[in-house]
Amino acid sequence: MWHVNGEERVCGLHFGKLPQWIGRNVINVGYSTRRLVSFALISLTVLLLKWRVARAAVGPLVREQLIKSGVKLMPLFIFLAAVIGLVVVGQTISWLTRVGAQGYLGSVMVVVVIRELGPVISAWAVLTRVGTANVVELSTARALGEVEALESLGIDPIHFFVVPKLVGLALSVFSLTVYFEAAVLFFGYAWAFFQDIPLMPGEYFGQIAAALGWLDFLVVGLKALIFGVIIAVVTCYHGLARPLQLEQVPVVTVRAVGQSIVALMVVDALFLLVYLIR
Amino acid sequence: MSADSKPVLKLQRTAIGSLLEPERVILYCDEWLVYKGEFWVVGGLSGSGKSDFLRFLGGLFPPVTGKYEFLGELMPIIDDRRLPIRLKLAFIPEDGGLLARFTVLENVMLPCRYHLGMSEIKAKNRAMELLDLVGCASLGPAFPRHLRFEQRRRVAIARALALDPEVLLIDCPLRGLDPVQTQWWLHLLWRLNQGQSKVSTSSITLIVSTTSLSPWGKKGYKFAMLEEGKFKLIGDWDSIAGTSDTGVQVLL
Repeated sequence: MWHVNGEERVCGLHFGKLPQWIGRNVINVGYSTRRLVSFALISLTVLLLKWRVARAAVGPLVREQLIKSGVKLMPLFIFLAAVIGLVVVGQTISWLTRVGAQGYLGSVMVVVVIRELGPVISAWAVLTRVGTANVVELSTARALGEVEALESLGIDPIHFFVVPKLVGLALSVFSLTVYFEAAVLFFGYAWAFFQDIPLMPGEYFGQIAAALGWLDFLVVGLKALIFGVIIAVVTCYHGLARPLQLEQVPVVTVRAVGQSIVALMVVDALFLLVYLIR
Repeated sequence: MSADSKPVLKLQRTAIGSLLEPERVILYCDEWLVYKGEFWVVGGLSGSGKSDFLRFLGGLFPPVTGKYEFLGELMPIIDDRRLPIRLKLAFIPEDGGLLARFTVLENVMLPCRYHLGMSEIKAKNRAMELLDLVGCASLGPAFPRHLRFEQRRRVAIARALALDPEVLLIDCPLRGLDPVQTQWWLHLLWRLNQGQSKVSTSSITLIVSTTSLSPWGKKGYKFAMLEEGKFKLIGDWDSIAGTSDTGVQVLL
């Protein structure tokens, strides 16, 4: 057992034996998962227990996070929606119409755009634009002793640093997912319209509405909220959880992005079970 | 000190780690009692563990073994129930520990907004009063990165005073200062200790660290030092003047 940056890790200098190498990495993934889950539980507990504490100081931070990770990303999401609308939806509509399968349009849109692409692309975009900035901001604050300064003022760093990001990112990813999906569907139809596809708006949106069930709303909403929580927890964990030196900031940023992507995709795959069980 | 008065701060057979490695013992203190109104100067060379010692006293990490009590409560205090006691202790790191993304005014307002739930206007008034005390009233809109080193430390003491602490811990307040700044700090700290400052009429117990004992002569301070991993009590200035301890003489 070795400790790297205060983390438990199984390390081996010789990678000759593949099973041992795989075993080590599996154990390390287990350690990482355990630490992240512990941090998530601590953060959620603080969120619940201190919901009404120090609102004068924490409230503005939540608003600031909502602006940073939500409002300011709206132009980027319009661009992404236009591109995805062209690449995926426009082409799908065009091909389904050519083969006379317009009847499946609603189902395809719901599965591809609403259930899968919407939440995943929104989460990835928020991760790259805001998650990385979070890790850099927090790890720099940690390296410069700001966390200790807060603790010495009797301020809980989880409450002050993590809770606003947790709330802000969960609400931002949720809102941006809804915004993004609506925009993709609109742009998708717009591209189809410019290609002279014989599809009326009423028929297009009617099919999508008919293919949507209550479970889709529930799953997409939950998925987006959980994705926001994952981005907040993983990035805050890597920025804050351990004492850091400034030169470690790039290392923890790369690690946080990698682990966030893995966690997002694993949770996304787990949501598939909801439909399979049903 | 009267026999019935209780110490505000008490260390007993305490082994102390460091912030980066809280489990690895770097200092040992057999016993140290600090009473209300005292002004302690803890000397030590660079690398002797002064910063970690003060961080430990500030409750940032627990002792490896032994006991550390503040106002009769075991430290560190992390539960909200005992938080009001914890807030009677303030710690100022050497670089001030200001939050980089907040302005000077917001930094000083923060404890009032967070702990007292003060409205923005009230917190702003309180912060301006404190900034005025340390001669930084005009720096309110500036960010910490725009301040000089000694200005950051002045703002840090303003922030630390926001909650009227009973005990103030300051890591190397005189390091890197010119003679004028040094005199300003000595004067301010003495007035705070004597309860003669504009913002507080009650006496504040002070513990400061230093690499040089000489600026602290004459005024009734108490001295201790960190040497070879041990906390040693020295006594008052007369004890220092009469000592043949080479460790103490190096710090003079």
